[in-house]
Amino acid sequence: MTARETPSRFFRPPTALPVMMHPVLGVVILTVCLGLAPFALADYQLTLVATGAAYSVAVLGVAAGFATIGMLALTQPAMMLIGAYVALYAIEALGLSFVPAALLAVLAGLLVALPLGWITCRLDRFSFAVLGFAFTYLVSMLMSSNLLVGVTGGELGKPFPSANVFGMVLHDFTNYVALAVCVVLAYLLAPIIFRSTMGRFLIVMRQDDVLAKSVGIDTNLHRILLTAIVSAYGAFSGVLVGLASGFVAPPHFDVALSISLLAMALVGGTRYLLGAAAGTLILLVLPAMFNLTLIDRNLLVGVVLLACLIFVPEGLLSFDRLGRLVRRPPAPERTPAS
Amino acid sequence: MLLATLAGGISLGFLYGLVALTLILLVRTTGVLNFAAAEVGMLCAFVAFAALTQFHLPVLVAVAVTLVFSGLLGAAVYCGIVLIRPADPLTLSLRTLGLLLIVNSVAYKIWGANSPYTFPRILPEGVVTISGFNVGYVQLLVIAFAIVIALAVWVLTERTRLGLLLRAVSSDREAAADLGVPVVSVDLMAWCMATVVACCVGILVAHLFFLAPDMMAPILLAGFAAAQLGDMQSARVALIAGVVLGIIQSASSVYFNQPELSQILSFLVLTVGLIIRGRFRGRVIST
Repeated sequence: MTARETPSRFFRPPTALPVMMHPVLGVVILTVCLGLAPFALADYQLTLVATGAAYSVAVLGVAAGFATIGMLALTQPAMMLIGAYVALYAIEALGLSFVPAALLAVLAGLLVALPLGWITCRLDRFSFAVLGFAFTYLVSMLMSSNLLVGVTGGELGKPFPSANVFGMVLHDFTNYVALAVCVVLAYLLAPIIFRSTMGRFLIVMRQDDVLAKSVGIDTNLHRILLTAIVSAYGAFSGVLVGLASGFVAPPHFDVALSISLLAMALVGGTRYLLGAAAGTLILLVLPAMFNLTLIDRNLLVGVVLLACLIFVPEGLLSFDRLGRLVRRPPAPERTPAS
Repeated sequence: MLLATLAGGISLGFLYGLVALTLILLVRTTGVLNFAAAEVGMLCAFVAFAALTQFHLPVLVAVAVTLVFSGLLGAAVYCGIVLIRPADPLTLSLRTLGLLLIVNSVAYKIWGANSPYTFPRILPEGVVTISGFNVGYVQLLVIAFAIVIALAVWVLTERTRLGLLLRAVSSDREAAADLGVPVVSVDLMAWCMATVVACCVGILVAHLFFLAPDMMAPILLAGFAAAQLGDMQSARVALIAGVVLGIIQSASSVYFNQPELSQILSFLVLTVGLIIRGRFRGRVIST
């Protein structure tokens, strides 16, 4: 047995670890960028960056689902809405501070995801995507409708209340700091989750579901867990979007957003921790900074998504692979004729 | 009342079924789930609208021009999305999501400002009275057209040489290529056929309701549902599922008088249908 084959607790199999390449570097870069933003940007731009960072948490969930088992998590806007409203009422009606309200929202996301995860086990990828579309459409439509106008505020939505953390009421700068800390924590948690045993099981499931079952992996349980984690990220993102923008309006969280979130994940690169942040920056924050209209922004998302999937299918952060576009692959070695 | 609701539901359901048919046609042949199918239909409906109202072409000429345009559009989409850099079906399906956004945004930029439009009446007006309730000719003609289109697709795929090639590629792509089937040409034909059917759906939807860049969103969703209930393989089951969904939506919106409740019911039907189908499929595979 060679040294390479020796089983060791430090041995990492040479399979591609999807999400989270260079996780430490990614978190450091994100922290530095979010830390420098208040000193480099105007107030309006800072609000856009904060909102983008909040959305990128949902994108991170989508990217994780896609990179591990190829899940098309189109339910994310619905989870964002659920999370945002749970936190809103936890702060407003129950008088909770921000941290327990956010935890409650994440818990709500997890609970709603459980039946969805159960359904995932019984459906193929495209069926689940269609169901996700339908679920997002239904939740967005219901929350925008007159049926729930007393609870959700209908199409106009509701203002997100001022939150307090450890007795300190959050305002402009402290609001941003709290949001930045939450975003960094969400990014920090992702590699820990997906580099764990569960993450590796998910990779095996992506490569061969039957093989995964035959080596004793409970594939159904792991699908449910993954759906719950992705949804929890969505719910948490909803809370952060409410905190950043100061209001929650159901029409903003529609089917188009689910496509945009998926596009952001794919454009940035689902195998990279900062892929979600890069995708959000390119497709959400920069267009908003340049005052693009919603139609122009959708056009940009469509063009960039299409171009990326054609020319850089692994996302814009796959710098190491960009060379393939211009380099010809090496010719296969000729075996000498016997 | 029941008959009128049924007629409305069936005409709507056939449109869902036709969208499902376009999806299944491509999935079976190429493995690609075309998210942009309905939006391409919407674009073709706008082309027909422009041919009728701006160029004042006769109805038949305008429809023929639109159908030719849709075929060419299908070919262009195939070349621009698939042929330019072949990839696995999932990546190709995701590329159609980008196309969906592009087509939708372009339509909004060109025609969005004054939408919705009333599509010129190319089908005869008037009503038939059944049990004291009026059913529009348009609804009945939409049903008739949908059946004709579905039959035409069935004949083309089951009774012609092209259909044989389509089925050969769908059955085993590599074996078909080894046996000399021109896979790229067959794929191209499948894309063209699917786009032509989508074009017909777009025109019928515009005629039945109104013409707007977002008119196909609910139709696409229900079409997806019908296609999924047909397991992305059976056009017949998808058509029936589409009709059932249409009837349920139509009946529930009349009897509940709450569009939201109607949507919830549709969602429940979709979920239950998908789960039952999944279980049934599992049983068939296991036996």
